[in-house]
Amino acid sequence: MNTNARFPDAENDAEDNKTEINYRRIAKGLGWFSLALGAAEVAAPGILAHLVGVRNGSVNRWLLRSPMYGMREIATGVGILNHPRPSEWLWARVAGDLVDLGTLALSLRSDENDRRRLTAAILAVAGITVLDYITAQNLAPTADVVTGSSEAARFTKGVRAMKSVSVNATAQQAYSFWRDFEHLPGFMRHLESVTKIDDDRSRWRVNAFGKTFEWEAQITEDEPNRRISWCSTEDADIENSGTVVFEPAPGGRGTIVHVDMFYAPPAGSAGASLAKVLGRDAGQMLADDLRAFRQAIEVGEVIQSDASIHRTMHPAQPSQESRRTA
Amino acid sequence: MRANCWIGKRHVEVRNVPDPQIINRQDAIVKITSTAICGSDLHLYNGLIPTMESGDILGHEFMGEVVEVGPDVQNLKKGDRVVVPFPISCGVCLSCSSGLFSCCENSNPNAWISEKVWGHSIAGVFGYSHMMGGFAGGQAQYVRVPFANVGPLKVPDELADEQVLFLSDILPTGYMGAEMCNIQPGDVIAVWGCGPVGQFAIASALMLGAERVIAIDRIPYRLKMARERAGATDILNYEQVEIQEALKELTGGRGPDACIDAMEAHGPVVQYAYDRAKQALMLETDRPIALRQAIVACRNGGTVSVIGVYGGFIDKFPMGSLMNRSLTIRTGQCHVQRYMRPLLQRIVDGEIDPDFVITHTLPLDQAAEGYDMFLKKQDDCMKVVLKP
Repeated sequence: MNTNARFPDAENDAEDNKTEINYRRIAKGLGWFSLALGAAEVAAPGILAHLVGVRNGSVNRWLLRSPMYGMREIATGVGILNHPRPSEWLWARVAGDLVDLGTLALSLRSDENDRRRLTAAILAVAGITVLDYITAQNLAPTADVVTGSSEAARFTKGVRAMKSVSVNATAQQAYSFWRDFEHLPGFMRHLESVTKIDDDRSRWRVNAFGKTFEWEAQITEDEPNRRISWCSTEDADIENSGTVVFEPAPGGRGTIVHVDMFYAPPAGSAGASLAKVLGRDAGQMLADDLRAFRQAIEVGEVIQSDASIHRTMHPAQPSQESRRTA
Repeated sequence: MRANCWIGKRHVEVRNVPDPQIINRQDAIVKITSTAICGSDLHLYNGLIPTMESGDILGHEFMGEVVEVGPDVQNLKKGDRVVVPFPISCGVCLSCSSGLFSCCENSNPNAWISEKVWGHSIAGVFGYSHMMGGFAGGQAQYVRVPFANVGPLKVPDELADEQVLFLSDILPTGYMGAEMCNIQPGDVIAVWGCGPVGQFAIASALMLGAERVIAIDRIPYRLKMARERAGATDILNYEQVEIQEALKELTGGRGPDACIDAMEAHGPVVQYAYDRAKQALMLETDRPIALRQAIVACRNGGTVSVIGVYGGFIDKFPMGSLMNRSLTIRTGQCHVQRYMRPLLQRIVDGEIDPDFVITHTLPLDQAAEGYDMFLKKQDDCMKVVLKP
């Protein structure tokens, strides 16, 4: 297996350094700024209240320290500095900026506050908001276009999910278990159904976020006991492609199943928001499905508890509707 | 059925809930005849374990009679009398096949939560939070037991419930604590905590060949039981003596060959206050007072065996002492399935009679009283058994 292909971030890092504006460095700067401002709000709320022009009262000082302002700044600062690609934390900054702007704008109404200082503060925060927004956009995972792989090259923007799972089975067993697509929905929670059209083509229905998505998948590569690649055909609700590789684990300890998938949501703004949700959850969904795959192959079914059998939160006690076909 | 439900912090209630049913093919339904309150249930009772939901049925130490089996259960049939181990284990994954049953990779439906907290998940556990799977527990009239081919152990009718009930958790846990010490003839073992698990760790250390076992606690009746029933050769009350000095005195300055941490989160006043405060501020999640002492006390090259339950993060961990003095630390939730059969044999052979820890037997409906009494150590409470 080509190792470079599995670690695209290492390549992207090198590319990032070539671009004229290095958004990662800006993000770092914003992270330190968040920390400093947060520390000031927590340590010296009185001085800060004076600087932005609001009344230096106990309520305002308490508010400045609270999770809504000071603690929030510190948290986002730590988040940004801790993550190699902190776009979500930058979006949190943008949201925080909007809270600040709203608060400052409301403060303009009160005669107790210094309107000149407030206006200056609003302008300053507005400037930072623009910078946060641009940086967040440029670091967003949806901008993480993956090229170079033949299946992926078709997509201009997409979400990539990569996960692996170890199973106590031979590569041949794992491959055959996967290759029989029609029984995958029996244990993969997000799959509604898979219908075989012919040996290489199948129809997939997926249930996610309360909606059903459908596509036809074409097998593009099928190396028995080693790898399967697929690609959706033209009319797909969500364009997608992927590869699953079955690698014998070291020491004969079963098989490592690697899955590498791309999703490209439909065009339009609904598609873009879907992309965001997918970007965040695709990895977790894939991990859940792979865990279910291991259980199905190792113990023959997916184990449920009195709570997990329900789609929403339920206490760990039996319920009337818990009986299933056993 | 009636079941003891966790409602909130320091609040449990026996309620009417639906009867359990077969969900997976390897399930069995067990009618409970005896169940116990575990020291680790007090962590739940105190609200220290996250991911609890109001209504969760508690209890992971239980036994009873099989009343229904799923289609894939071959090892059990209706009417079998069984003790059920607290970890739920599939028996076939890599962890289970290497004997690490409490680390089963297939039995926790909410593995993703514990992966977020611990990096990797462990087995599902009966009645012990949603992070551990959201399985209903056994402080109830009936319980659903997944992977019934693997866990439940059939027990002979001649033995009373009280003699075999603790094979479900605390006897194997105490035994594993001693086994992890790799005891050599003549070894001196110190055990922090003389609750039921500590008592069994003491007795097990002696069974495994220790020459002296030093029991450490603060509660006189527990120390008394350690000496008179479990067989400790020495007892130390940490509220009366300075533990490090006393241990050096007893071991000629060298320290115990191995130390077992079987302590609830307690310790001398100042240290306790320090950790309690940090915990309240959410700067640490556990109070590792016994663990710190055990590490510092252990002889060079010795072993520290941790069976007391920890959930998250600790601080002031004496890493320098551990590293520079070539110590080994061993730990784990008990792999109960590994120890049940050999320990049952020891019970049959009369090498150990675990019922000495039982101080109270109550009807299930009085579970709330049992929890309260156990928490407050009232009436010399050591172990409460509930009868549904």
